[in-house]
Amino acid sequence: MTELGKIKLVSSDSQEFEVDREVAAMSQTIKNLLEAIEDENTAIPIENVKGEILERVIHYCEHHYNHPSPKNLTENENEYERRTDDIEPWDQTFCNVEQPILFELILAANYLDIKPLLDVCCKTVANLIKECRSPEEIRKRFKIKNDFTKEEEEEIRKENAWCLDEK
Amino acid sequence: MFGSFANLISCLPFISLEKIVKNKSLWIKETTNEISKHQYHLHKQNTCVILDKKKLKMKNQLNYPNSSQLKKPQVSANFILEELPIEILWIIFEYLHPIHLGYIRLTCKKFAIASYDQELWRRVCFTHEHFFIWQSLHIPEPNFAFSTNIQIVGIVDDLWNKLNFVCKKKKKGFKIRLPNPIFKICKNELTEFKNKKIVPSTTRLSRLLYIQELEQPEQVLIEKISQINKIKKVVKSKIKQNKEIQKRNEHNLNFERGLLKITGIPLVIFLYSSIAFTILLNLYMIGRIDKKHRFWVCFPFVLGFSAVLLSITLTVIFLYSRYVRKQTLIVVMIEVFVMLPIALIILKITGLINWTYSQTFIPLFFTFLFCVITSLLYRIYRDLNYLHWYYIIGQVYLLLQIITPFLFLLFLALKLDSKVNWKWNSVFIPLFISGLTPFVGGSICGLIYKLFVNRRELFFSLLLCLAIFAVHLPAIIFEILLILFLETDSIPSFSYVMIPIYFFDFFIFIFATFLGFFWFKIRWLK
Repeated sequence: MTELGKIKLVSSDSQEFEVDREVAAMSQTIKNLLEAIEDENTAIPIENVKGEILERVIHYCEHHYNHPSPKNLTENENEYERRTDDIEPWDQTFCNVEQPILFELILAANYLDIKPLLDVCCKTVANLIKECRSPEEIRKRFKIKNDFTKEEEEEIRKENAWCLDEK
Repeated sequence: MFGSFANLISCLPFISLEKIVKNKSLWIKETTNEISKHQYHLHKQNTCVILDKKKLKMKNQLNYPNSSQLKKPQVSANFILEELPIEILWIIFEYLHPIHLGYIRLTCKKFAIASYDQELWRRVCFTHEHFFIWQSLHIPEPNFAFSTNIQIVGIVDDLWNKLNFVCKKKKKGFKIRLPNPIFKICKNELTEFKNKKIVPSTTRLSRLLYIQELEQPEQVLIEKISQINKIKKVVKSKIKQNKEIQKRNEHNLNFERGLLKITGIPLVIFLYSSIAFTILLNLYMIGRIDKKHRFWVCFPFVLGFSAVLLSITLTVIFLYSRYVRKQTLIVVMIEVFVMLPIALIILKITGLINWTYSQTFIPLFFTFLFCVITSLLYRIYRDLNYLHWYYIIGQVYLLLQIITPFLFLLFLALKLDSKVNWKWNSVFIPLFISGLTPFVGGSICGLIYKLFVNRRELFFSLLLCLAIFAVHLPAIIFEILLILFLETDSIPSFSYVMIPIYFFDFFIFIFATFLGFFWFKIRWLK
């Protein structure tokens, strides 16, 4: 039996997590599910997310449930200007993880529909890209294989001459 | 006859000037709109600063996640960026700077495809800080077509043109107002280019601007306090710059308005010179001026006429070459159309060419034909939707106004070449028709229309009728006297024939003075 006002989440590798109803409702997907399910005691299976990732997501949600960010106020600004330097310190350390985990987090946030988490993770990835000063550096950092043929690369290089060094 | 002819031609500059003034006022509206947009942006910047402060307060309350709290990752496979779905890639890419989006395109095929989205590029380019530059310089939003690289260079190209333009206007070297950090680097680079006397390639300039932005500290959170101060300063300087830009724009507008006023001066010169011409003509016909100096009789008229045409050309080229090149072309075409016949006639009168009169009048016929056809087509096109009886009467009247001088010129050419043996009074018949219709037909029709159909502006139309009457009555009397002088001996001297023309000159004198000092408000620019 779960405690009052708590629900059970089951990850893809069948780990179980007990979460506050309110905290879980930060995810739009779970919120919708909860509205549909009447029996509060059923564990909600979250098939696309691994336990390790789900734990992190729950951790994030719990923190932000207890410390609501003043983000709501800046929402209007986002339309006008997309900044990546306004990540809060806690979020920064939260996102300071290895790349595979970060990408899993993005997928999970997308699947569970937690917009602030998705934004923060995407911003972090964007920041990682921004730290690179050339396409080669991006490839190295993200372990991307160069699958262009020479002609193709030359063509795109020509098109993008404005952002490359003139050598 | 030259009097009435000049009267016809003098309408031309009015039409073009009126158009220019209209367009100008539109342009002014647009620029003021842009300024208000700009202020809106500044306002947003201000609120941003306040929010930053709030965040700073929050900082102390926040708990940092304990690293021990989180388990060490069990390594969830080799999951790489490439494997993310395209929708998520788009979200990430939206946060990038245009230059990094350019890099992304070069990394691999999937990213090249993912980053080749028009909407994405638009968002990236329009939401980034550097677009502030375009706004502050009042460069209109660039048209975003699909091919991305051209757009970016195109924007920078535009900036470069604008910079050039500002530089040319200031004439004091490179004094450009840009957002501060960019301004500094731009200034150095530009002075460097100036010393070497070469134009920097657009790619170099674009790179310059983008790199400048990248070198700004990105982690605002680390040095928040100093950053806030910096932002404050930037906002202040931006507000200052905004004011300066507004001032500069006002200055430009004043200058352009002044130019428009100056174009009135040649018109006044033309009107005064036509008065001088009539006096000289009188002296010549009496015999006070020798036949050798025939050219100098025409000289004032030529001078005034060319001054008007020159001023129109210069105005159009100066004001509009930046925006519309078609207009310049049209004005030059019209000038050739008007100038050529007049020049030929003057050459013939002064005896510099030995053509017959019919030959000399051929270009003039073409001009008239052109006028008739274009005005007819334009009017039909314009009034197609409301064809009422009074409109049709108006059309017929206007057509008459254009065709009768044409017929008159035709008869005159034939008569002067003595190809027909008509009397002078039959030659002048078309001109009588055109002279009498305005205040017999035209003004009565106009009054009826104003009285029964549209009561507005009745006073104005009455005034207009009176003006037409004042212009045409001396001309008609002059024509009658001229016929009497040529056909009978009842008038002893040509000076008597010229009396109505002097009346006409009196009106012109009043009109020109009024035009010169009240309408165009001629005064020296500050």
